[in-house]
Amino acid sequence: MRSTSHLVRRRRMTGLAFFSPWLVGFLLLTLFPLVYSLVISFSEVRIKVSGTELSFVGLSHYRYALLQDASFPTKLMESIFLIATGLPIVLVFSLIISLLLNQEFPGRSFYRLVFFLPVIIMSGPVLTQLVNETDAMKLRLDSGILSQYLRMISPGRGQGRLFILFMDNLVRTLWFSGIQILVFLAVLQKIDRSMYEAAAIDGATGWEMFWRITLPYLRSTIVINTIYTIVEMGAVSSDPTNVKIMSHLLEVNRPFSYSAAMSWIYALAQLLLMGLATLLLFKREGRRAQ
Amino acid sequence: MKQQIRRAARRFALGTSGRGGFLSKALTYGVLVGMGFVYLYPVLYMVSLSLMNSADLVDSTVVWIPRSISLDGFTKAINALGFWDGLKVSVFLSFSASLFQTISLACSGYGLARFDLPLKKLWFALIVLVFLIPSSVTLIPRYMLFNGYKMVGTIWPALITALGGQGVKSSLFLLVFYQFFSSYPKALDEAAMIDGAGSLRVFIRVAIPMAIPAITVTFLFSFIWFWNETMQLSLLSGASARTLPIRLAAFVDSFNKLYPSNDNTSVGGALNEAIRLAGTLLSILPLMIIYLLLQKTFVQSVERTGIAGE
Repeated sequence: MRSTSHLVRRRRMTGLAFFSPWLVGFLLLTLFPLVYSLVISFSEVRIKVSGTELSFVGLSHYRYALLQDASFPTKLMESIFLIATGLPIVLVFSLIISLLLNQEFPGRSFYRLVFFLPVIIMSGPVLTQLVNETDAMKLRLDSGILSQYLRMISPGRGQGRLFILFMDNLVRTLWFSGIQILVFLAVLQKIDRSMYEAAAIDGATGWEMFWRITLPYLRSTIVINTIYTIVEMGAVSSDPTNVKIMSHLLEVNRPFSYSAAMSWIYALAQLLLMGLATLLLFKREGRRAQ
Repeated sequence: MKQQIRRAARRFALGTSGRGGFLSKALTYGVLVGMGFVYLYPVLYMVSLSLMNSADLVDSTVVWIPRSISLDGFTKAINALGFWDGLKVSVFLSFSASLFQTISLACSGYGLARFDLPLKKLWFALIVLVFLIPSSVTLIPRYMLFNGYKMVGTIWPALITALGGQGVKSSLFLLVFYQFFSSYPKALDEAAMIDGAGSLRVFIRVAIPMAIPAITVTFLFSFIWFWNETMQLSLLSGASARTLPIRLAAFVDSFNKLYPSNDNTSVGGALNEAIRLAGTLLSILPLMIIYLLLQKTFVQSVERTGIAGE
């Protein structure tokens, strides 16, 4: 009896030993920084020869970021706007493309190659060059019916500004769909063909099959892709809020702490978006199930 | 006769139950070609403009195809980027970091999957949490931490992050490893144990061969994502790890230092869009070559490992 429990314990220790690289990494490089950044976001940081000194200042960094800072609220709204409008575009786009790529046709692998390319080449500096510094991401819409139409439906200056931001970032947004397309595709290929055959015998059209079979099957995948998209879009270093956070990092009179406060605000906003999007998707699903 | 023709036309356009007809095929190709163009637009734009000389750039009658192919932009961009040095740094850093990350995540995934670890549910929750937290939140304390050990400005922060399995999107890979290591029967381990193999030996001889696809996907994507990661690297490693993307971010400064010009509007030496785009293209060229060579591995590995997350 004693020897078995000894064996079990030993085995458990071996398991922990295997698991320890991640565990140590997590404690040291994620958990500790997480707690510490929360602490310094509420503190004033002074760097002295003897080390860093912290004194508690409450919410003052947060208040400054949201109420006094001239550019942070704007940058934050821009980032949230880009993510919130980008999300449905990415989801619908990647779903359509994956449905198309799920068919058998010549050239299929070429298109898979094309739609996965941005995953490989996309990084903050590349996006900065393509979006902000050159016109590479801006589709030319100066002439033609489409632009006339767009100009008609976007009156007012405030709306116009967001609209321009949206159009300028449309291709950039689409570039965030590479992984999602493949994830949808992988799940689509697992759907049992016989379900469609049975539905076809009962006289269902392709449209009906999509809404009744395919979409319910993809429900959890859609949620996963939603979360993935938000994480990905919020992490890219060329994101307006991230640029702002980085620019204040080593500020002389309030090092680290102000950036920490801003990064927590942004992190909370992202988590809120994730929660909201997931809730929305599940709620709709619940209604259909009734 | 008329009916037959109509039926044949219908079959041609809409297809039979077995296979799609002409219309659906046309629609598929139409959407794919259109979307593919929009999608590739920036890349095509880059290739086209980077080959133009400054006269073609300002000439509005020149669209897409340059009048004469000029490699001047590339020569200048190679010099301004310090392309070959950057390439060396990028390859070395991405390779070693993804090697470290793959090894440590394989170990951790194995421990999580094959042993009755206490608090297993908590570990999973934390793995997901790591994925959800934006890296900008943990960046500052990491800086202070590494600063305390005098490691800021060396490549160690990147390597240690990789070794701790906390690199870019590492949670995904850990879950992939977990999935692979859970999927084969326990009897295999036990048989090897009875033959007298120790845990490490079982891991290397039995478990690793089962997880080759997981290892491939982890290594390849870690390589790509470490290559493209700049936020933590530029802050923590600074001058010691000037990878190609980081050089690209500082492109304007290094260009102006190398090719000083008195007025920014001059046509000859000044930085123009062609040079910028040549620099951008150069910084992603190595990745594109790797992608073209290993395209099947990339795409299939996502499908096979089911990052889909069921």
